[in-house]
Parts: sequence; C-alpha cells; structure tokens
Amino acid sequence: MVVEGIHMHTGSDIMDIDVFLQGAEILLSVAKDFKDLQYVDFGSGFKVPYKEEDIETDIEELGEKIGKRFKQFCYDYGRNLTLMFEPGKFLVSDAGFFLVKVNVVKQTTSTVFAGVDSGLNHLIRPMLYDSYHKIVNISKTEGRHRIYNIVGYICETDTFGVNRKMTEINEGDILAFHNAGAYCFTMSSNYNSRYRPAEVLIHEGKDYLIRERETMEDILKNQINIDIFSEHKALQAPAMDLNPENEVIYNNITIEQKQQN
Amino acid sequence: MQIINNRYVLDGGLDPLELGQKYGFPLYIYETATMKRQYERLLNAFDLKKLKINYACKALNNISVLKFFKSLGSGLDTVSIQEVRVGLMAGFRPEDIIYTPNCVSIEELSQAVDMGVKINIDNLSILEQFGNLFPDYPVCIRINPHIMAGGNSKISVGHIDSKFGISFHQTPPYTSYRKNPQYGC
Ligand SMILES: Cc1ncc(COP(=O)(O)O)c(C=O)c1O
Repeated sequence: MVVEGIHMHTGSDIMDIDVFLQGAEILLSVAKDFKDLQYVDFGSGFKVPYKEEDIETDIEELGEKIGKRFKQFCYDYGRNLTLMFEPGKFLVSDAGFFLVKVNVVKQTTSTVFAGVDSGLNHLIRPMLYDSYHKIVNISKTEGRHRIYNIVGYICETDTFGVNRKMTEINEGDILAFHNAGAYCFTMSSNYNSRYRPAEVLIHEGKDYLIRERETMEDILKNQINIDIFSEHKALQAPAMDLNPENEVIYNNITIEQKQQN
Repeated sequence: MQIINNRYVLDGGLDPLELGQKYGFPLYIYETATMKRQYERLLNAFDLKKLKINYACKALNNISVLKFFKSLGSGLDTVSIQEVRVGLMAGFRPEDIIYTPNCVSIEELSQAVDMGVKINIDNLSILEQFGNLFPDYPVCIRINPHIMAGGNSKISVGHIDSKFGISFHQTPPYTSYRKNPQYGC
C-alpha cells in the first residue's frame, strides 16, 4: 500500500496560529515515517470576520510560519513535497450576500420584529450554531436607526438576529445578510414546503443566473401520490352546518331559553 | 457591498436592489472578485514552490462556482461521491480532486477509485479493507492531532472525542503499519 499523503483538519475557526502550528508539528512527526509522500495537507479552519470587531486568522503570519516549518521539513525529508490546504469559508464566505424582503414589522410590548420572506430553510447557521451574520437594510442608507429582531417565516423560532441596529425598516424594505457565501445555500432545505432561492453570480461586472428559484414541481418531484385510501365515513366529523342536535346546553338551559329570560 | 452616492452597490457597480427586482426575492448573490482576492491572498502568503489550494466545495457547491475556482487553478476538496461527480462535471481532473469522506461505505470508496481521484482515509478499519481491495491505489491518511480549535463544538473536529481522523494516540496499530513495508515505511 502506498501512502502518498498525510492530512489533518482540526476544525473551523482557528484563531491562534501557534495552536495551528502545534497540530502541524504532530502531523509532520507522523509524516516523516512515510517514505512515498507527495503531499502534506493541513486542511482548513481559517477564521473569517463576521463582525467589525472579530479577529480573523492572520493568513500572512500563518504563511510565513507554516511555510518556514514546511521548508525545513522537506529539507529533512529529502524531497520537496506539496503543501495543501482546503479552505471553504475563507474563499467564499465574504463573497456572498443574501437578500430578503421584509413582509411585516411587528411591534410587541418589548420588541420590534422584522419578519422576512425567508427562514431557517434558506439560511440555518444562526439557528444551528449561533453564527452571526451582519444584516443591513439596503433600502435606506440614511436616516433614523432603530433596533430590531430579524425573524423568518418558518413555523418555529427562526431568529436571524437579535437587537440589530439599522436604518428604520418599512414593510417591503430589502435586507442584505453578509457572509452568505459559505454554508448558507448548501445547507438550505424545503422545510415548510418552501422553494429554495435563486443564485446569481457576479463576474467582471455582469450578473449571471446560476440557479433558478424552485417551483411547485420541485416540491412534488420524487413524491409518489398513491391512490389507495377509501373514505372512513364513521370516523368523519359532522359537517360544519347548523345541526339542531348539536344545540349548546349548559345547566339544562339552551341558548334560546337563556335569551328569552 | 459599499455605499456610493447614497445607495448600496456590489462589485462592478451593480445595484443589489435592481438584481432583486430582476431575479426576485429572496436571492443569493455571489461575487467572483472576492473569491479571487481571497484565493490570491492565500497563495501569496506562502513562499513555497509547491502549494496547492483545494476549494472545499461543501461551502458553496454550485457548478458555476466550481468552474470559476478551476479557472483560478484551484483543486477541489470533496466529502461525498456526489461532490466528486459535480467536480468532474465542472472539468476538474481526477488528480486535482481530493475526496475526504467520513463514515461512508467501502462501496462508495470503490466508486472514487473508479473515478481516479485522490482518496483520504480517516479510519483504521477502512484503511485495512481498502488496502486489501486496492493494494496499488495510493491513499492519503487523515490524522487527528487532538488540537482543540474551532469556534463551536459542532464545527470543532480535532478534539479527543471527535469521530474524525485516525488518532495519533492509536500507537499500537500505528506502529504495526508504520513499520510495515506494505505501507511504504
Ligand atoms: C475535512 C474538511 N476540510 C475542509 C473544510 C472546510 O472548512 P472551512 O470552510 O472552515 O474552510 C471542512 C469543513 O467542514 C472539512 O471538514
């Protein structure tokens, strides 16, 4: 058996290069015993910023430190190997936006909700693992700012963001989610029998539709509509017409008698 | 997305509200310019002769996005045989695709062999079965170094309880295959 590569992937969101280097050290100590290697794969886990104050993996520092260590490894190993990485989020997260329309603005005793025409069926990361997506009201660049809870239309709590300050929202306004390139569309579903959205790619100043919005056909595709059920008359509830035998009687008095008194 | 003349604009000056009118809401919009910038940033961070970036397409799997990464010279990181197939359809050469599945059947691994892609194995029992079935097919081995990293326990996969990778603590079987000329050591 030929082992041509050694790989690790420790998890998403690496913040500390020295932690990454510790993993690299362990990987290289395993790698040195395999004589037919072509590549060493350090996986991914580059953190991207979601909020202004977020730190991101310092790629330049990583490149310098890992690069230096890898050169030394190749020297000791006796051959130039390929160094591999497999980033997802780092390459596409910041490249994506998700636009939704506000269907309702709902003022409750404590909160103002903005309910949008989407939900965890289209973008589940905030509900699945508490990820933060910056949300802006792109219908208004200026004016009064207010605080909102941005929620979806799904029949469960699907909160996209809590206490988000943005320009005042009117029903019909469009909100844009940032960092919607990675793990957003790919995790979408048809929950509540909703369509998955369309996808558009902007390349060199031009827009291209790269996925059509789904239709009812997509919802029913693969479903097999079997026709085998006969009606169980005995189990059916009475029709909703006024049935004198369903008279409301309380304390032996009918509604009619009550009204006469 | 930035504000210019009191309105939000995307790459190339495109207006997100107009795109929404054109294609309908809700809508996902992606910019290749940002993907390219990030790809180049990673490439330029390393001063190495041989560096290869394999785009992990689980993040965004539209075939047009895959084709864009191919045009940049990227390889492809995949986790299912279906991702491998889309990658091949997008025009990636089999040797530019690495397939890193977890808990999949030996039948699925056999399909990856038929497609000729790089295979990354993260389980000793699968490694053994694979070696018996395909003694000449080179493999990559996924090691778990047990480094705690990650912003959330669901996406942190290197810890000791993780189902991913072959633990570097599993020394007895390790030494047996480390010292085994069959494994090239
Ligand atoms: C094996 C492997 N490689 C690469 C990635 C991509 O990670 P990220 O999107 O954080 O770059 C993942 C993510 O789950 C993974 O499991």
